[in-house]
Amino acid sequence: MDGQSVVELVKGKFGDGVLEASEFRGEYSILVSSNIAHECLKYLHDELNFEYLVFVTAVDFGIDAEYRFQVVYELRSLLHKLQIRVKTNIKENQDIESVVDIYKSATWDERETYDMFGIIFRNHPDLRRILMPQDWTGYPLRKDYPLKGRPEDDDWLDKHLPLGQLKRPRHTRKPFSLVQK
Amino acid sequence: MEKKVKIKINGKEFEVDSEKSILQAARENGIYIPAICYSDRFGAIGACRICAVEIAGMKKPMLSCAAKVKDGMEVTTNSPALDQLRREIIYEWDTFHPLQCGVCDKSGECELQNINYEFNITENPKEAQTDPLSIPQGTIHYEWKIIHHDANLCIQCRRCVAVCDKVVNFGILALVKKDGDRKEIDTKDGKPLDCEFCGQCVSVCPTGAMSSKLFKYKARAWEMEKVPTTCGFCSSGCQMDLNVKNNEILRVTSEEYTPNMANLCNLGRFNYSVSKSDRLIKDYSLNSKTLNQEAMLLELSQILKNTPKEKIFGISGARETHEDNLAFKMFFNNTLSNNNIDSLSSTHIGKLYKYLPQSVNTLYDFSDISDANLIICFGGDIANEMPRIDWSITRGAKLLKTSKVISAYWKDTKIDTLGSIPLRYEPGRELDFLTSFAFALKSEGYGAGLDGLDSLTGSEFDVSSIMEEVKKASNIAFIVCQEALERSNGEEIAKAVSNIALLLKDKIKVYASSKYNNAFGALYNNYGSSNEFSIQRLLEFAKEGKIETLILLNADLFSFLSDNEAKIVRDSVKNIVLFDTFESKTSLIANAIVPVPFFTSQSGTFINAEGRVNKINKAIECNVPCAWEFLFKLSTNLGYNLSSAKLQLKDKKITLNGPADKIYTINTNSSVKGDGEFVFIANYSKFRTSVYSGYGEGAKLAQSQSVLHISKEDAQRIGLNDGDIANIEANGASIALPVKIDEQMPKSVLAAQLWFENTNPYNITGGFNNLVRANLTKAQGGLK
Amino acid sequence: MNKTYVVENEREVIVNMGPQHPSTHGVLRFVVKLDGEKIVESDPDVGYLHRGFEKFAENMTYQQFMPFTDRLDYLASMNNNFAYAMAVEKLLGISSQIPKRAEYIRVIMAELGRIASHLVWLATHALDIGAMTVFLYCFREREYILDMYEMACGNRLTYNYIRIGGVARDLPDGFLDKLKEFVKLFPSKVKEYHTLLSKNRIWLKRTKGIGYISKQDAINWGIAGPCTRGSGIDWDLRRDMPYSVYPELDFEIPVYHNCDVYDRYLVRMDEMIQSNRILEQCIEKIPDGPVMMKDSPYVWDPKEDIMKKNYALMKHFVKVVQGIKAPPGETYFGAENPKGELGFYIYSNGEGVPYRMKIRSPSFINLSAMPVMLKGHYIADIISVIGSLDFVFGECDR
Repeated sequence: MDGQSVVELVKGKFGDGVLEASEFRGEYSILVSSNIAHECLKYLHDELNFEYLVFVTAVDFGIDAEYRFQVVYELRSLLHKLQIRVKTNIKENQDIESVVDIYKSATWDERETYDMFGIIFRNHPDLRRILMPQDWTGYPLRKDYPLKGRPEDDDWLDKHLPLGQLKRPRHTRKPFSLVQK
Repeated sequence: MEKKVKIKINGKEFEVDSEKSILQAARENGIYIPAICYSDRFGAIGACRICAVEIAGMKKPMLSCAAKVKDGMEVTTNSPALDQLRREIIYEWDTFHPLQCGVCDKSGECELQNINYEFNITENPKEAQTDPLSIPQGTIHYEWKIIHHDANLCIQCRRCVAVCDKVVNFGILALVKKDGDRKEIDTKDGKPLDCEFCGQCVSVCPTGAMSSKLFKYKARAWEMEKVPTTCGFCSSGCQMDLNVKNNEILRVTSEEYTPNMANLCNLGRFNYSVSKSDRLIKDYSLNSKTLNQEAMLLELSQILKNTPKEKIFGISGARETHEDNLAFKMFFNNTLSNNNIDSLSSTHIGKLYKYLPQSVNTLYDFSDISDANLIICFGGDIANEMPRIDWSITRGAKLLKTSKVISAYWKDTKIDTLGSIPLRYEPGRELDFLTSFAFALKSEGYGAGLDGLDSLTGSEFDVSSIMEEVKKASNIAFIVCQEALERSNGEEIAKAVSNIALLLKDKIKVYASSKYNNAFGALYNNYGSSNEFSIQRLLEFAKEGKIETLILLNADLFSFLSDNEAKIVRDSVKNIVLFDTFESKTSLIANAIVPVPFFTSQSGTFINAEGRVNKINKAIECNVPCAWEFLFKLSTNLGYNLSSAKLQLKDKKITLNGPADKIYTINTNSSVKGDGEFVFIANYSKFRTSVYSGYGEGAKLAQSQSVLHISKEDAQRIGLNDGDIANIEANGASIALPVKIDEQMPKSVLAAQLWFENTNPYNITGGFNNLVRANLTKAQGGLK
Repeated sequence: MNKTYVVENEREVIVNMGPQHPSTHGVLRFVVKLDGEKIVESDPDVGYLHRGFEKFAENMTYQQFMPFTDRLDYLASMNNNFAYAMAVEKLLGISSQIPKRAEYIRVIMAELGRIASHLVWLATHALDIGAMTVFLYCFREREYILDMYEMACGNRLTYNYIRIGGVARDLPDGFLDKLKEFVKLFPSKVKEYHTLLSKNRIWLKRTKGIGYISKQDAINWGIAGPCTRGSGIDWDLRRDMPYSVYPELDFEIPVYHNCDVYDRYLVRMDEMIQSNRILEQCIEKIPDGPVMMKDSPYVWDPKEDIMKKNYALMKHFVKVVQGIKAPPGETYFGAENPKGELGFYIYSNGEGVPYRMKIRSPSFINLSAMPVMLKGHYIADIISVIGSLDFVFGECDR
């Protein structure tokens, strides 16, 4: 079995649910619609021997994108020595079915994704922040999250900085880029 | 109507306008062709040759920036041969380019670096020709002001030549022959650069050859944070980025996708150091005593409580943000429940938009000027008043060649070099032109059916030379300059302009220029709507003792009144409360001074002459609150809570209210005040929009003082040479100015620029007037 | 953030271990619900060392991120360098163009790193359980490896030696001799450790049958590295999804089937021997030649060129200031690190910086399965399970 045949099988099974399939540097990824993502992973796990979930994460495309987040699952078949990436697009306030019932390793990965992006995983047994403190506001890996400091810190500085001492401006500076909007 | 043609680029078919070049067509469709010298700002130059593409049927590669698309054309943008060709060009540039990236300001954003990276140049067959460590031979122009040119870094793309010629219309730069067969960019006459110092050449230079002296060695390109904002020097509202490092503005840049297409003038590009001027007001002070904010609020509310409400008056300088401006208005209308308020926009555009009927008072984009068939520029030297309009005219007339230009003024100006039809009137005879034009239009049958058409009368002024063009044109841009509106008969001029606008209703777009950056915002906020008080009656009200407390918001009395008049105001008003950013003559005489941040230190909006609501963003920290915040607190102290929700402006573009369509009867009986041999005009310099704009390095270096422009003949007659000091006398007052002989000045006319620190021309013209008859004498022994 | 436990009867106690606890390797906090001494439930609380590496990565160029990888698993920095460089090279599509000598140097460094990391693991694992001597033995050998690292790159902990496109500099003179000496000596040292521990009764009591996780569970919980191989799963990325020059080298994958702490211990002990074998072969096979790719748009030019040739200088400015323009696309690359599979998922949109980078860290995933391993054991066994999982918080919290 190779990547292409897995893609074909998934396409055959889910038809229109598979929105896009691509290959880059020998890696196959399939973009599926969010309502069948869970089903698709279950199919890959149960019937195609993709028994190992490498990671779960998300990509933020910014506030203006139609689908703000892309949730990424990297699966591996130890038997076929094969990897495949399943992706699904969701909107900012949309939640998505947790895959903990299929892959236990998603437990912490999904918690992390929730912590960093604020994506809610339905039916997750224990969805709470993991890396950030429990009273944290905001989701640090979102693209609109400031790079330096939190808004609350500004207020705090206003009160506590010695008189006359200036706050340094808060940046959201990226490395220098000539790419224009 | 533009024709569509079908072309194939890299095997894909596209439908594009037949007017487009191959490069434009490719870029529109997302196909990348490398190009160094091309920019939409000034069109094709054809110097870099790197944009060459292969066209089926042609033996040699063609320059895609210059070649127009043709139906059925098949273009290949990339092939081994083209790649080789492009590499050859880059080798050529690299051969002579010194090894100076480490110390060059352009490093990191240099297009030569980028193209080397893009083509991944790993060898140079020609590198044996030069020793990279040898001392370069090209000229380095240390002697130029503001702009630094190092010919060694130049790759001779001629972008600076093109931008100077086709955008700025100054054309001082050229590729000239130096010893041997070497060519270098230099001034045409070989003298040190003496130009508008707009720095457009700096902004287009792909390498570090043209650079800003003010920025040199201050920071590397990648260290600075770019804060997008709107220029706060005139009402053009150019979009620019403040490059900030360590809470200091180090340079100003602009991007090509902005409405101003990255064009900025001297003030915008080089005058950023105003923001760290040592004349910034930092403390609250009352009668020369420094207070903290709370104490100041208490003291001020006490002053305002002790003054009868109807005796409090306010003047806005039309330079503050829209928010401050509106808060000021709300403060008077709601907290003080009076309308004793006006702004400095009433001295010029306020007059025009009072009369201009609603049907023709729409504010249009400047880009429409370039698209107009006919541009009529009336009443001033637009290049000095608003360079951005000047560039729009230049773009239409010189680059796109879509527009004809008519210039109606008393002097030859820069736009006349665009092949304009000149209409010259004597200074003060603006109405002659306007009324004859209106009359001629009526005679041609324009405006049929309008009431009061019969009242239009002509004058002996001959406008026949332009009538043909006016009839032909389907789209006319009519630009009214501030100088004309600032005349003492400005209201009559405004009425006459309104008549013309109404007559040409279907095809005219009226633009008005203003040196005050938020003048249109003040109009939008209905300043000048009071029936009793207007800024012109300030003196009268003060003398009559009607004013007890006068609040000035960014309004410097000495920038619109003569020194005497300002003194009268001072003496007859009990309290002068000044909200201002910079020290000025007014700050010396004001009782209470409230500092407000400069536009670089606050967030808000400006409304420009296009009616656009432009955002400004805070770039540098400053520890004083915005004027509106202070006013809101003050208002709370006075027992009235203002709501900041109202300050939010949701529209992207504003519209102004105007009267119903009406033909005005014009009183042409105006003569120039005073007597004397000369006519003296107070007009504008492109290096000042206010007194404080001279606190910045860029403007100060470009022009440090107001000079007296005089015709050669007159100068010879009186025995004046460049640099001599002359006394101008009128109205029993006199001012002394250095002389500059200007060949374009008509006989018996003198002109000096406003808002310089060396003099106040209003001293002889009087406030709300910029024209007077005067006598001229040579000063003995220079300035006293 | 910890779970809220409810004490159901008077025998139950809730104990909070850490974040400062001598046997939690790093700042791990552990909340355990005990029934007497038996663990009913447990909840590892991580994040005390969270530094936002993924956010950092989104805001710096590919080359700039290399030193950050040193700070992931700081006991095996070379391996992290290696994994990251391979991941970026995969994205750039230059994996096959890396000079052979550089590849061998990388493998030498990685295997030395594996041995060094396992030595620290063994030292602390034994120390936690109570065998003090092992610690001294292990650190003696580790010192030798650090000396070699210092020879090669000047640093003893964070190396920043491997570069995208090769390695920073060639091996110094005498390095291979020193390595030869080490390789010759090391198997006898491993024997010493075996004599100290493998048949030690206390050791056996504390490790046999402790921290059981079945083969099925191990896969389902995504456990990686030596821990999986201790659960009978025959999987090693170096062999099964080969990268670099591993296909040219001959080595075995040790697998044990009892799924407990002791077997995980044995796996690592055997791995050290296998790494030693790899090193032996590398010394034989390492070719001469350059150690850095040349003329690639993604790789910095040599310093001599930058100083003398203007095109190299110009390109260098672009590469440093704007970053190398990686082609748009997404790749995942996982490398077999001492702790398990360290992977980098990079989403590039064609700019000089990665649009998103996810670091798949073995410590994080392995730790998540700990409650399963602990259930029903005594509280003292937490220590041996922690030791057997061998996690490092630099990597877990990122």
